[in-house]
Formats: sequence, C-alpha cells, structure tokens
Amino acid sequence: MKEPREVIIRPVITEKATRLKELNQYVFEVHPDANKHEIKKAVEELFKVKVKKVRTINVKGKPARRGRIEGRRKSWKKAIVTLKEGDVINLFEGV
Amino acid sequence: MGYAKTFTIKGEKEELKKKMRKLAEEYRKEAEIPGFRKGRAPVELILIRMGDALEEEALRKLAEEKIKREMERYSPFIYGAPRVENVKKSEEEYSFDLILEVPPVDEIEIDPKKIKKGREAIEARIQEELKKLQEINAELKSVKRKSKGGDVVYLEIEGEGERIENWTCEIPKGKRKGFYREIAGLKAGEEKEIEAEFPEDFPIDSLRGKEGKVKIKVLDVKEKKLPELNDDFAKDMGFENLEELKKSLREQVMEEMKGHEDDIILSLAQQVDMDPPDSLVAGIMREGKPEEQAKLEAKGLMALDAYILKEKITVDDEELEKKIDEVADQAGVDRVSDDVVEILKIQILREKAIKKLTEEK
Repeated sequence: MKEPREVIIRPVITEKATRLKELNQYVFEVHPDANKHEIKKAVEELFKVKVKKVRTINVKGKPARRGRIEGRRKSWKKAIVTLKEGDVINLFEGV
Repeated sequence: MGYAKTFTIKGEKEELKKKMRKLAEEYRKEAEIPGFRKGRAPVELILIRMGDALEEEALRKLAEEKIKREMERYSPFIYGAPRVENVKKSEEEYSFDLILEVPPVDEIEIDPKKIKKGREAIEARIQEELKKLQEINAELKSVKRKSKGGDVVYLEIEGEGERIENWTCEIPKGKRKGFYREIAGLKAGEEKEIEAEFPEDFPIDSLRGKEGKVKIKVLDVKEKKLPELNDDFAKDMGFENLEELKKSLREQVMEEMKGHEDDIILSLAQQVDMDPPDSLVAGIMREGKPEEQAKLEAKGLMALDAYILKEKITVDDEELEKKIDEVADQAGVDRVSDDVVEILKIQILREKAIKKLTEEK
C-alpha cells in the first residue's frame, strides 16, 4: 500500500481545474501506478473528505526537442476526484 | 543611515486583508500564470504567489491613506519609495513603521542671511559692473598738479637702448611700489631717472617684472573723473533711471551665475549637520559623482527642499506647462511622462527657491 503523499503528487492548478470546482471535482497529478481505489483512499485521508467518484487519465507527455535531440516531456497520470456533496478541499489554505 | 522620518501606523487585520485582496484583483487582470489564460487566474492564487509583495504594497497604500496629510505636506519631496519596516501582526491587528525619506522641515532652520556666498557675490558683481561702466565713461582732464593715485600719466621712456614715445598708465590708488612709487607725485613736464622694479605690462620687454633703470619724461597728467552714479548716468546708458540700470545688470549677473547654483546649494549644506536621506545621495551618485560630493550636495538639496516646504513655495500650472513644453520641444516629443513632470516640478521649485534665497535682503 502506498502512502497518501506518494499517491497524490500535487493538485493541478489550471483554469480548467479551477472551473471544475463548481462541480465539486478536484484535479490532481497522481502516481502513475496508483489505481482509483488508492487515489480515493489517499484523498480521503489527506483532506478529510468523502470521495464519491474517481476518474483517471494518462496524460501523454508532449513532444519536445532540444536542438537535434528529440524526445518528449514526461507522461503523467491525472485524476479527477468528485467529492460527496458539501465536502470542500481548500487548495489555497491560509488566504 | 541618513535622515528619514518614521510614522507608526496601526490598523485592523481585516482592513489589511481587504486591501491585499483588492490589490490582487487589480494584478489579476494582468497576471499571466501557467495553466491560466491572462487575467483568468483566481485571486487566491495571486495572493499566494505574490503574498509578501502584496502585503508590503498594501501596507504602503494603507499608510498613504492614513497619513495622507503628512505626505502631502512633503510632496513632491519624498525621496525614494517609502519603506515598510517592523511589521507586527496579531490576530486582529497589525502595526508597522512607515519610513519616509523627506527633507527635515521641522528640524532645520535655514537662515537666508547666511547664504552670503550667492547673494553677496551677486551684489558684488553688480557693483563691479557699475564700476566698469563708470570707468568706460570716465572723463580725462589734464591737470597741472602733481600726479596722484587714480591719475593717468603719459610718459616718454628711455632705457635699455629703447625709446618709447608715449606710454600711458594709471597710477594705482593706495599703496604703491616699485615703478609706480617713483612716478607718483610728478608734474607734467618733469623728468626723472628711475631705478626700480617695473610692472608686468611695461613697454620695454626686457624690464618687465624686473629691476632696472630708465629715464622718463612726464608728458601729461590727467585726472580721471568718474561720472556720478545717478539717473543721468543711467540715461546716458540708455536706461530710464539708475534703478532700471541696476535691474538690468542684476538680470545679467543672475544669468551668468546660473551655473553657480551649486555654490548656493553647497553653502546651504554648511548650515546643516544632519546626514542626508540615503535615496537622495544614491540619486546624485547615479549621476556619476563621488560619494563624498554626493553627500554634500544631498545635504544642500535637503536643506533647500526643506526651505521650499517651509516657505510654501509653489509652482503654478502655467510655469509648469511652460517648462514641460520647453523640455518636450528639446526632446522632440509631444508629451512627457508623469515622472518627468514631477522632476520638472522639483526643478522649478528649486530654481525658485535659489532665486528667493539670493534675492532676499
């Protein structure tokens, strides 16, 4: 079993993710090997909330090149977590 | 540390938070944060990202609101940005020190009478100019008496194998030495052999500034009659009256003295023994002046600015407009920025103050 901190790498803070809050959905970058159950458990433990649903997406890294060397940015796993009605995660703690 | 004034400001925490939020909302419009289109980032994110800077700015803004009157009193002489220090925050309240670098209006006393250098120099120059005019317009009249100081004598000189037919010189007033001592007291027609030190402008080259021997004959002694300094004299010069003439000379002298404003500033600096505000010194040093000189100048400027504030010297819009046009014209632009306007305003104020200081009797 992975530690919650290992599973949840960081919240994704983008315009889109911010808008999803209206639907009580929160977006995180998660460990590429983490499954939905692990993610649910980790979020519940870290933020003390109830998770209703978890959807995941494997985000493929964008192609990148440095001069002649071609490659791609690292791929990562995104999780969209829907919380139980009434639960809130404050990503901007202390403001 | 140079001179600066500290204001302690207190307020409720809620007020500070509101101010920060308001500032963040303003910044939000321009903020480009990864993941967001320009201006779309949430205020909270801005608050987190720019927290410290926002807080300082908010405090400064609050301070400006709270001590508006104080700040207006010093305007436009607030050197450098106000500093926020000593911030203390509790659950409900905050307090901090706002440090303003301003001229020490309350602390120093400028005595215009002490600014002798500038004013006396101007008066002396006017007198000098008048005297010159008098000299130029002096009347020469032959006299039969013995020559004395101030007289012009015409001499025939023989010596060192040379012969000068007619040399004119003025016998100095007061203490005379060498050659002049010998010729003073001679009448027209008299002859004399002179052994003395000769003046630098003596017509015989080999004797200039040296001791030697010559034979002279006094051809003529003329008394110099200086015209009286009165309205008639002024009229001859093409002026209404003497006052007008003096006024015109004053203007001319003031124009000449323009480059010497520094002298006045330096003489002001001698009246104060306070360290000048750091920003002012730094500003002058940026012009490429060495630190010591910059410090001295800053001291003078600080005193000058304090004087301006104390005397409530102001610039009216017309003067400012004129100056702006002038500068814009020179630079070949239509408009100048607000910063420049501010600088020009300070410039005009300082010019006015210097003028006032030098004119005041």
